[in-house]
Amino acid sequence: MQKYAFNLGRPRLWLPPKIILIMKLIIVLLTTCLMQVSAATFAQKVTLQKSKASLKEVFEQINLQTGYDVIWKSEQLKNAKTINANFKDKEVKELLDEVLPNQGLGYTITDKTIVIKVKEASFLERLVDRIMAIDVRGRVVDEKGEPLIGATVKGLALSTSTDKDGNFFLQNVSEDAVLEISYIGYMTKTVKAGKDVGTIRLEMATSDLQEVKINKGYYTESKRLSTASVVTVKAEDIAKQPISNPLQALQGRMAGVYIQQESGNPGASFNIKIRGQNSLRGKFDPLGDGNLPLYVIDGVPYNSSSIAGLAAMNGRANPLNSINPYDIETIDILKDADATAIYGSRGSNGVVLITTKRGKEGKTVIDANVWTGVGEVGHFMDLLNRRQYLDLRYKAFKNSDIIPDPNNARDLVLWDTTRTTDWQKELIGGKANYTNAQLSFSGGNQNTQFITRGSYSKETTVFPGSLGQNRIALHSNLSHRSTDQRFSLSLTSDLSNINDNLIYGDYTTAALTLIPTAPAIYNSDGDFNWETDQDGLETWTNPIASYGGTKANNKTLSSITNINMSYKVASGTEIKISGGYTLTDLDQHQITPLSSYNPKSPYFQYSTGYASHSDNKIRTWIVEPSINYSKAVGKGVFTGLIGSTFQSTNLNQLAINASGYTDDDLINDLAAATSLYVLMHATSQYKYFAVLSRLGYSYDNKYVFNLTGRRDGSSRFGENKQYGNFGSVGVAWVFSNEDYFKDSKILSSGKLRGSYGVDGSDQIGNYGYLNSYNVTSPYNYQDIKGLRPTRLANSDFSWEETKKLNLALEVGLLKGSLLATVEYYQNRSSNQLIGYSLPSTTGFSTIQANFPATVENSGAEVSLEATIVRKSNFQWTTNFNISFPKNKLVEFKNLSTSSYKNKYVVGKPLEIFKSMTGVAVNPSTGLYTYNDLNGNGYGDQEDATQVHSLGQKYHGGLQNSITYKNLSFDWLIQFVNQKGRDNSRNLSAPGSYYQNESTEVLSHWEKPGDISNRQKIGIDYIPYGQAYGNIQYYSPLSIRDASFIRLKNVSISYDLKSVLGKRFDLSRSRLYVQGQNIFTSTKWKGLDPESISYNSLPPLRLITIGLQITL
Amino acid sequence: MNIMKNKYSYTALIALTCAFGCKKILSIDNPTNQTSTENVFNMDSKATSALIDIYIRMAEEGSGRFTSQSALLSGLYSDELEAPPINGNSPTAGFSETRLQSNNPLLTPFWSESYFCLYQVNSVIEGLEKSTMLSTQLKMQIQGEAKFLRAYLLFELSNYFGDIPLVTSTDRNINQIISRSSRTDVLNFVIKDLKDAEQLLPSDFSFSGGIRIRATKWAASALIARAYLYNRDWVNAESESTKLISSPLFKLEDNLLNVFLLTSTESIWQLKPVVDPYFDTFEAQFFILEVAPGTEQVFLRSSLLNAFESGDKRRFDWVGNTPDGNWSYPYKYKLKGQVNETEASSILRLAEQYLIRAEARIQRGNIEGGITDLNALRSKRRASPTATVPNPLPEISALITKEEALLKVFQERRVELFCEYGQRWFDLTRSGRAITELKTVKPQISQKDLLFPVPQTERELNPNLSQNMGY
Repeated sequence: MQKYAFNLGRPRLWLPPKIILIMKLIIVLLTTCLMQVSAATFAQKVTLQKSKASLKEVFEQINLQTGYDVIWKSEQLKNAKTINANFKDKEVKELLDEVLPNQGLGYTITDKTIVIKVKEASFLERLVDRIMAIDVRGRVVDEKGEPLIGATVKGLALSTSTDKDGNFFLQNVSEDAVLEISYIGYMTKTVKAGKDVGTIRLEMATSDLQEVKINKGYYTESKRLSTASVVTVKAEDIAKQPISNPLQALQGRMAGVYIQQESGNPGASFNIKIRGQNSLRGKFDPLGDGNLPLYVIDGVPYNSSSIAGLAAMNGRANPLNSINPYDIETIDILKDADATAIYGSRGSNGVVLITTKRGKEGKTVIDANVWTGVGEVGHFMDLLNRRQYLDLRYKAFKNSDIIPDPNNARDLVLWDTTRTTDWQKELIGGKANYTNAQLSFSGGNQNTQFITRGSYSKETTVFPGSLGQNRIALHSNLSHRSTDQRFSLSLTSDLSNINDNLIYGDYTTAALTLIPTAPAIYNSDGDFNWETDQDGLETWTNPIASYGGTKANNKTLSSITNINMSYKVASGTEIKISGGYTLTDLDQHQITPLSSYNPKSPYFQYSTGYASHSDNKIRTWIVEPSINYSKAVGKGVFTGLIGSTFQSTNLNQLAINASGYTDDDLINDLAAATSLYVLMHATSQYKYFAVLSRLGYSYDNKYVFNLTGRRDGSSRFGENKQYGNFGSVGVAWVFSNEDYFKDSKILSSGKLRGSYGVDGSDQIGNYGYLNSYNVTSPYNYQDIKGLRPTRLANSDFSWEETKKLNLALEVGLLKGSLLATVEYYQNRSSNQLIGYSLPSTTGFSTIQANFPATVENSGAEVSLEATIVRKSNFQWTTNFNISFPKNKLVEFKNLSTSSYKNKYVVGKPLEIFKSMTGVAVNPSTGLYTYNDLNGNGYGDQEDATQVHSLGQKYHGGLQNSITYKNLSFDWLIQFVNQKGRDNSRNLSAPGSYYQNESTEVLSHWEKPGDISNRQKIGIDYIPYGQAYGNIQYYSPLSIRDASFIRLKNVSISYDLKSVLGKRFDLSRSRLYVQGQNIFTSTKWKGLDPESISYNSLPPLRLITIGLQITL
Repeated sequence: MNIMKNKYSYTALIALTCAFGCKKILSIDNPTNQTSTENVFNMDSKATSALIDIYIRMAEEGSGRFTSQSALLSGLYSDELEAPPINGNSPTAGFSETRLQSNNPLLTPFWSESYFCLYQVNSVIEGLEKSTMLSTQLKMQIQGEAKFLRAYLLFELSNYFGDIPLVTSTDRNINQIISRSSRTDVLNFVIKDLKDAEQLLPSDFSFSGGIRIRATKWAASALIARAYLYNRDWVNAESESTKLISSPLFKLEDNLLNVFLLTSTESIWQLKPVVDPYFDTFEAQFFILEVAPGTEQVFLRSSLLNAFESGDKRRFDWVGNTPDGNWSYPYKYKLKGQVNETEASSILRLAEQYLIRAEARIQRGNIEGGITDLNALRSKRRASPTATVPNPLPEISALITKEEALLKVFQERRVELFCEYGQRWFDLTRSGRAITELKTVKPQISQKDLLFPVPQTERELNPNLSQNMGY
């Protein structure tokens, strides 16, 4: 390459290629000679006395007594004769020299490896060897098949280290050289050189268990010396689960992380809590959820808040739906201050780092993976059947001494009471179809690697009709590293398009409340059956007509492009710059045609069709320059990082209502509407800027100290309140590296670590400080539009703060076959950003402000990782985690006058329910009684003084992975101990209305003396409805045990390589069956204890079958 | 040492970076859909929009408080409307059974919607004071309309709640802890605002395209007349109402079906419905019954139906019946669920001025003059004679006592102004006849029920807000 570098006009020194070759050879030969000399200096002695000893036995003894590995090929010893060995303290070399030549064999010694050859190579022969030198490539992985980065590969004098994918490439290696592969924490291995030595698997050494790199976004560090609390899920665990959202992959697998799937509808939203709820602004707070973690994809922060479009079946769409989970290599969750402080202002709710897949050096790999399966509701509620229902109703009328008539009992008088429909089966009893197909091409050479993965997934629902969602995604990455290893570049692109026709609302409520004798959905002529009365009014709400009449079409287009570049300016100093551009377009259309109205109704003449359209666009760019520095100082290593972040997000929203359509055919045409109004047409901008730095010092691999500091600015605050300072301190003591533990047989690794720091949050809307007017109302007056004050402006609010303390003990026992981590944390969030309630005399009901309220999350987490069996054809590993989260509202000034007064209680968790006291069925009257504390004769909020904590007491998971020969079996059990509210009681008094109920109602009070918690059946308001109404909303009886143990995931996989691999060039192929939410054990009476809700579809039970072929 | 050095350089770096542009880095564009308050009052069209929005807010569905909600709740609370006995624990039951509590969920919006509008009014008034770039004429007109609306809102509030916070600025620090002013102080403030408005406002409807949906000098007069009447200032009440009765702009309609139209010559100030897709009044939307009333629907009490004299055309033209004839409903507004912009909620209309003057005159001893006004109104409300009713709605003789004459006025007000934004309720309370008259339909009514309680939530948020007696 630099041949011409000195050719500045001077005649070039001419050398024929042959001469150059000779020169090269001389250098090589000299080196080899030196090697030989050094080998000869070894003096290991062997004693062996045996007659008729085979060479194999001799070699074994050498290995046994000296530790030298002896490598030979069996055909080399085919013709070998036995010898009468009589050696005493004989040097290895001497011994070999004595034994081998007679057999026509020679040897070489490289370090501690002896390679037996057919004949001692002569100088000439060796010369030939050199000429025939080959280039060797291969890949080094750990026991789990994960690449080992930076492993040392030595072949004679040459050595190299593996790249970030574990690949290495060594040039000019003798064909019969022996490679030595070593990596700290792993047992060194030797292999014979070859053009492609394939994948070399290193096994963990007895100590230094944790020489694993962990990803912390701006930097990586070795787990052994880390002071941070980080949990990780890898691609192989994701691959075991038939899922569509990355968050599903984490359920039950991570200590300190609780993820609740809120419904079983495609694209459902998730509730993720990393070490509890910090912000008082919950999911449905008008100012926005203050508890979202920060998502970072390939180093670039990703907008995680839902886009406020039109309401849809799956709630507010979760932006992570756009990411195909199978494109992900690892998901790391950063929990404590040391880990999250580097994201400072935005790390208070934890940070989720997603790293997508990259290509690997080596031949081009084609990977195809297809799975398909069905989902269904795993458990139906026990509801009244026709007979039970009718008996209950008749009894109610009899008890009230009222004759059923068309006004009070349309179900008994107007409807056919002989019909029976199982509405759960009818409305939510279908099978949802799942299909997922992926095809990827990847490969590359030492310098450049690529991957491109296309995927298609389709999910339908369990509802009647053809509702569903599909996603097409394309993931690509191109990585390059210059030959001198100084410059590296990585370009990642993720494109996805989600298309769905999911309507607003689902059929679950109807399935649980429609009575068995309710009318048929369709008339005999196939039209919707409205079961009209003599006035033409419908006597029931036809669920399919009212929901299914609506049509929806939603599209989400998402594109994430990231570029990361780094350059090593000098040893230990690296300049990095990363940038990203994210685009999200959400395009929604919802249509309510005339055909969804009852045509016989007297109101029908006034009805017109209407449509809503919404278009939302989010654009974010981010640039993050940084400098990494590291230097060995004495026995220690100093590392430093400084960097900066510039981010800008623009949001454009447009929502239009079109109405007055008298013709369903034209309903998609805005021009055909008689009136149009703009619900929203807004733009907003968010800017963010930060400077950050991290200093680390580790001494002697024993003592570690890390300091992180950061200053953040956000445009969401008023001019003088934009900046906040955040930082953390982390320390660790690797006590197993102390001398007195060094020789311990039990303890293989051990570390104590702790961290303390401050994180922040600016998760509020934009422009809270701006004093302005806007068009709020869609209407006009005299053809003039109105301008209304937008808000009560406040320029004084600033960052919310979370102080985090974390203490942990990590130990590895019995040569690392048991790894245990125990952590304790205490986080306190203060300066809470909330909508502070004001009396309406101020013109508004709230103002955005910081509030001196403090929320504390504390708890303990235990993770265990055990290798139970590790044999070549049988492996069994177990992972276990359990978390005990505790949440408490420590302080809230003037809570009683805030809008949160009914929601929170100081000293109690944020998730509570306040109930009345003394709720019971009076054994003599059969009616509900309660303590009417305010004496107003009605049960209301003021009577609700008893506080019940809801939420999780503890949760965790137990995962087992067993591999026997070609068969792998993996299962995950999730367990959660929690209380939930049975809000099915929010119906009217049992028996008084035509609504189905749980069979629990059958245990109602019958006669004086009965003890029951269901009151007497009756239909009139006084006394039945009144007594029921009094306890309806604040009854402690609604608190139920929602704990569950669930077989969350099962995966059985059969490795096809041994079956098919001989015929095809297959490196990894498997046939698998997987299941999700297979079995649940719970006392919860509702559909599902995870989602708890009675109004939305529970997470489905899913069984799939799949095939993966890798060529 | 090394670490320390780096720490310094790091600090220096931050300091430098910030010095050169932290502010600039974070500067963002104002959202395209928001205009700074300052800009709003520097342009005629924007200032007009800021004012217009108050009308819009008052006419909007959410704050039906000023139209159907006001008619509904006061109608239930007095003796005009009844709710079907479906759910005894419902918020409306609190009103219809006169056992209103300070935590009734319908009460808070009734209070707060007025204050939200008052904030806007004050914001407009303050904006105009600071503004220098508006044309004088427009500035006067907007100021006048704002003052009229402020007076209307405060007057309404104090009629329902008695003493109320007299909010006259947008200052949060004041308004957050404001205490209640006496009813007299509020009334004086209201009259002063209205007098100002009367001076500032135009005296015809040309600026609003001939229709009467914005405040004019006449609207101010009409409300002043009502305020004087409520304040028992008979002299001023008579003189203010005379201004309207003698104005050529206003004339009682011959056809009762025209009274509540946008084109009505009786109307002084109307709120035009704004809510698409109906473009019709909430009154029609809410009151008209196609079939028997269901939950959240109401019907007219038989006592009100019986109060109509025979041959009163209002009984036929302004009262509707379900097809089965079992239920009656207020039918002043007839267009329901149609796109037909011909009706508007008439808040101030001429008929009331006749009744104000009649009452004022009788109170001053001019019984004959008062009865003449009553008869003038009755002559327009009379049905044609028939065989069964040969003498419909007869003329009232002037030869009666003052007390009898006053009862005639109240009777006339009852059938003329029924279900019109609290008129009946205010008549009952201001005349001191509420308890005796309502005892028959609401046996448990007592003195405390004459004022609505201040909403509990508001009192929790403002420690200085006192409660009415008995709650």
